[in-house]
Amino acid sequence: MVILAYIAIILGMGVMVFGILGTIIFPDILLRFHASTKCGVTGAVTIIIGLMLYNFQLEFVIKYILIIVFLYFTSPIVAHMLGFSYLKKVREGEEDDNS
Amino acid sequence: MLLIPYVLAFLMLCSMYRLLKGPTFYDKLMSISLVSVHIILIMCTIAVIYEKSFYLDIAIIYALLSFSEIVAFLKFFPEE
Repeated sequence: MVILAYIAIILGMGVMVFGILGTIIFPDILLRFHASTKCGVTGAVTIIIGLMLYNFQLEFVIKYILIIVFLYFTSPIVAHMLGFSYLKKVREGEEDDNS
Repeated sequence: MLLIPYVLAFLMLCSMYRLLKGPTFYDKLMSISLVSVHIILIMCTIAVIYEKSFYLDIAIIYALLSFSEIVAFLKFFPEE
């Protein structure tokens, strides 16, 4: 169980490292949003599953599942709202240029 | 297991790069969401290390706060 936990934590940390590297070195803003969503859902949920395997008690597991469900719901909503408002601002700028 | 919060704190510092040097307002909000994910993970790891489950309550409340924070920023400052 502990070995599985360490494997999951190291895997999630690798995903985190590549996501943060993407947000640092990518040139365009939409590419950076793409990289940050990988970090927010996949890496974080994998690390939390690893911690859940490390100490497998009832009171911890219930709260870990709450955190996982909350991250799965809210992280894509945040990314979608950021990208959508950026796109709306770009379109308004284009309309102002045309008129 | 004791090394994991330090690694996560280092990654949090690395993800603050776009908060300092973001060209637009949206880059900074993206960086804030990344930093809050790292704070949630550090709280979960501290709960495992000290074996107290109330640190996970802090993590849940911080997840809720970061979500509502970004939604409120995009609602009230939509064009920066």
